[in-house]
Amino acid sequence: MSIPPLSTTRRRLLTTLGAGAALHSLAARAQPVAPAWAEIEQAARGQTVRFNAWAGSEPINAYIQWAAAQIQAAHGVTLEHVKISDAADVVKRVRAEKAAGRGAGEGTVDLIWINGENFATMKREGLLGAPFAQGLPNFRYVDTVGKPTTLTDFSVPTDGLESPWGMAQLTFFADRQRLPQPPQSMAELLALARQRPGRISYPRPPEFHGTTFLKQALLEHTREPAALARPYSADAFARVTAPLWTFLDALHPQLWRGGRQFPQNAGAIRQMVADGELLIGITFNPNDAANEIAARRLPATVHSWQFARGTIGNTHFVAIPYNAPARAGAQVVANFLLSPVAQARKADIAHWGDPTVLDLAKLPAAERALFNAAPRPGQVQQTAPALPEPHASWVDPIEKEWVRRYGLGG
Amino acid sequence: MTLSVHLDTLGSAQRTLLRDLRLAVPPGAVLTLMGPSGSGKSSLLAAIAGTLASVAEGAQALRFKGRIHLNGVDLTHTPTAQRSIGLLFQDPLLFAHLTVAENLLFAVPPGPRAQRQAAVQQALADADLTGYGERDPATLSGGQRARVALMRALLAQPRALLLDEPFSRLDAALRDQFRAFVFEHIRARGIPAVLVTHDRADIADPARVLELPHAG
Amino acid sequence: MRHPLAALLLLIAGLPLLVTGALALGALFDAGAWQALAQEPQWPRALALSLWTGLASTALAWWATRALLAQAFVQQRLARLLRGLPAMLATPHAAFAIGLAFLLAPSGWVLRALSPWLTGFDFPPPWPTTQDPWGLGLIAALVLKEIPFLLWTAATQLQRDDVRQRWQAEHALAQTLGYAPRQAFDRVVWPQLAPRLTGPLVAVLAYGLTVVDMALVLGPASPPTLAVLAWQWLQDADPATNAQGAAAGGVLAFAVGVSVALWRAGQALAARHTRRGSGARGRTPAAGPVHGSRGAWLLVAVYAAVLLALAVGSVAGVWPFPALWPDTLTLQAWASVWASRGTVLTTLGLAVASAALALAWSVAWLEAAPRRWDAALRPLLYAPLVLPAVLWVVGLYSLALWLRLEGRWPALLLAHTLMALPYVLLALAPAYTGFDPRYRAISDSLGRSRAHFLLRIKWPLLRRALAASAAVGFAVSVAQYLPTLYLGAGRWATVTTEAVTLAAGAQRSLTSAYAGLQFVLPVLGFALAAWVGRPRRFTVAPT
Repeated sequence: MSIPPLSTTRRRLLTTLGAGAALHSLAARAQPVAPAWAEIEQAARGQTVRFNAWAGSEPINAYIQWAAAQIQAAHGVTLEHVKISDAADVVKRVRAEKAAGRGAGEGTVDLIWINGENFATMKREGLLGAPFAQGLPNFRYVDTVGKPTTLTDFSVPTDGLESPWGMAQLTFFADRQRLPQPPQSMAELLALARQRPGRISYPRPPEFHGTTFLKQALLEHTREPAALARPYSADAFARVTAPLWTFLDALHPQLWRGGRQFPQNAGAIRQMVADGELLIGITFNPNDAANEIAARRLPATVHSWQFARGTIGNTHFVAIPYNAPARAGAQVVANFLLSPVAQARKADIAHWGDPTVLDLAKLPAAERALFNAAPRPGQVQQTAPALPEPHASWVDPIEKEWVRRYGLGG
Repeated sequence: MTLSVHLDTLGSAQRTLLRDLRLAVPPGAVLTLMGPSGSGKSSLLAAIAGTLASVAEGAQALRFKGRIHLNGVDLTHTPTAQRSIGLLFQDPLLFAHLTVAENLLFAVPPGPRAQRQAAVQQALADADLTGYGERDPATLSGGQRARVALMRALLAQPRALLLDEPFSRLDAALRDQFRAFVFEHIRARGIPAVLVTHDRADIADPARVLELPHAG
Repeated sequence: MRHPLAALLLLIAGLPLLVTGALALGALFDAGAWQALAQEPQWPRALALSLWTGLASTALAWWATRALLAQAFVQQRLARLLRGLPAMLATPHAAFAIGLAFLLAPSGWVLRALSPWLTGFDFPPPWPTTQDPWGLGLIAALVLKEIPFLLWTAATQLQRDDVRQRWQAEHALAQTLGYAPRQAFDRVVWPQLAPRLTGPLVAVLAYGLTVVDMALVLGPASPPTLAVLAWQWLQDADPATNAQGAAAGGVLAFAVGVSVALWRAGQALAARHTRRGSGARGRTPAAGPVHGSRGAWLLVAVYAAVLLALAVGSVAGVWPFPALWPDTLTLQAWASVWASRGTVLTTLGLAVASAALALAWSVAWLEAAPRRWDAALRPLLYAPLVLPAVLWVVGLYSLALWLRLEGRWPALLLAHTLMALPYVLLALAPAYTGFDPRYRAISDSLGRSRAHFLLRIKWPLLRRALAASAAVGFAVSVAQYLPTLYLGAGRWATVTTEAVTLAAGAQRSLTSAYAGLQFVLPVLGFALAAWVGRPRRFTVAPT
């Protein structure tokens, strides 16, 4: 109905291809065992690993510098942080290289920080080469039971093509002085918007925070949550998403600038919260606000929270393209990133504050102690359950429909 | 309409070019200014026309101290655009982006369109250039351009005319012809004129010649 | 032996330009892309916005340039006007937009200064002063940024040897015919100057229509201008969306072509009107003390305010509305800049190399190519100016992939040089082609070789123009973002790529600090050029 038929055909085609790729990777796993880890470490010595990672945050960049120093000392591998502002750039680069006929070992990217739609794209188009994650020694510590998103990325199985790195969960933050009673659900958010019109907004989709806001609202309002875990279906789209559009129709007139304009990204919203123009900020890192307070960019009265019944959570990963020149080195780096030492430092709010993917119960006592950090102002006090993301194929149709309905300024 | 100039000093901060000069030119007469190069002849004309300040960048600006009267009106501090004193250079300086007719039209004072066009056609006829109106000035010969330049200056109905070596680029035969042409028009209009030249043959009226001394 | 050299030069630069253009436009031959674009609801409005902002800003900038220039010319203050221009030219577009946004935003400095005592606001008001849906903020920023560029190119034309004195004399002559100084400028000097400014004007128009970074900061968001849409689609990981973006880029390129044609038609009409003229003489202002142009001072004041806003923003910590001064000051942003100082070397190396190459090529071309070739091929050489940057980079990247050069220094250098080339040529051509040909005749008649003439006479006399053109190429290279990102395969970080990746985090202090760094390099470049190009001081012998 609202989605053009051309898209539907493409979607169906891609789903079929995706299924085909999944079968192929299953077959690949049935092949002989991957080379022993010692051999991989040996081969990695002296290699330079180009790690393409988002660099919009100083703590993250500093963490990667620290990791580089550790890896150089321990394994003789040089880790180079290639700063990017959007992972889609890297996907396109690898795709262009494949189209230009660059074979194995002839690429420019060794390791990518990736998840969600970008991963689904790379997996679908065969840009990721052979599975490697389960072969990493530190993978045994990963909490695959308590954190199922470490194996399923936006409801797409990872098949070992990417190794988990950290956890993310949709979190809100606000200044306690300006907002003493934070809303605990989308319905409460709507009520708040009615009381304080013009003081709330969310980033314009397809920016991923904005899209996640939509997904959260959808999860809370839809009458068929099971349909979202399955691949997108054009017939079901109208039924499944109708409550979302009703909710947004009611919400938008109360938003900042009457819902006719939206801020560009979560960073812009954060700046506006700091200035006092908006009440509520949005982020994926539960410790983001604490970091900002420590950096003196937000006042100390800011606190973070997640909706009582849960907000969307996911895992972010590192993946190795099919044509990575330093494949062995990349695996060594991925393994280091999974190590308790690295995960503990990452979870430490003094350095980054990104939650760990490891199961603390599986760790020996000495390593487990690394994770004890003092609470900091601005941190989430009460963590809420992490709701699973809808299937990656739903993202595009939802974004397109949003643009069609609200993207033209009304 | 007498042009009278009392010059106290004309020069820059470093050097004085001229001092203590008196000129008086009655209507219809031509005063010839003569002198070696660098004696300040062109600068004096610029001072009378009021264009002393329009020098290229980097060149020294000159200052004029004295009085200029035209028909009894003191023009010393009047801006150039209001002096009504016409200027003719060596280089005809026809505006490159306008046709010959448009160059002439430029000089005609505001008025009804038909009248202005008629004035232009009359000027072309006087200069013996009928039919040259739509030509690009660059396609005219040196002599033709000089005539257009003079007609342009006259169309603005100046009350005095200054000529800065206007004949020096023309060959001998053309020179005599054009000189006679210019003096005739000046006499017909009854306006005072000052002519700067270094060629004795150009002298209009032997009774009105001013020799400028060597500079410095 | 002129023509072989010219042909070789043409091959060196023209071939990559042609191939890049072809590859970029080749992306348009995909029917699916056009179909997808047709079904996209945003693009007609986005195109209308692009046309409006581009044409309005160019028209306003053109009008303002003419007014400022007339005033400076009439008051003989051209040199003074020009002295302040390099600093304004060097301000990076994105940084300027960010600073201006900070001044004008609902939580910006202007409103903070007026609140709450005048306006009664305790919270930032819901006024759309930035990202307004009519594009007024974007138009303002574009106008402020383009005026110095147009003024500077107009000044280079006014300083050409062959016309400088002639136009001065013609202006004086027009005054003797009774025209007021300002009218004389409008009727005599401007009609001869304006046609020579076609190149810079087309550059300004193309930039206004295809700008991405300024539109992101200040332009409308729902929908954005077509340039921003095309860029967003080209950024997407989905190849179908990319193709759609390329199609949008094609629409944009077509819009540029149509706009230029419209502008030229308008100019021809205006010229005809001027030539027929009514003979109206205009008013001569009363002779009095000559004071500086108010317009020029206003321009300088706005730039100073923007730079001050950036400076204060870079050290601001927590700064809630309506405080006029930050609650806390922090040097963290500058610490991070210091930590990135390695990128400064990369930036400098690239910029110096590409500016030098572009200058060498331009000088060789202007020296060796016959006028006919130059006139015919200029449009090709200006292609990177006119094609939207997003499309252009697609072509460059395809070329690099084909030559297996991606991720290597030569590819990066090639990309930067190709982008700098049109600007350097634009800046150098007036002075170079206006050089008095009689000097060559005299040098030959004195028995000197051509090389001797070039090295001892022509280039020393053109020192100022050569240095200034090199500075322009330098500034252009420093500001490159997309080419560095794509052709360097992310391996090389320049000051600008750092600034943009950090701007994605939208932290005012970091963005302002990096904008400061981005600003310093070209300013130093222009200062060096001014020093190199200073006129020789002749000692005056006492009389």
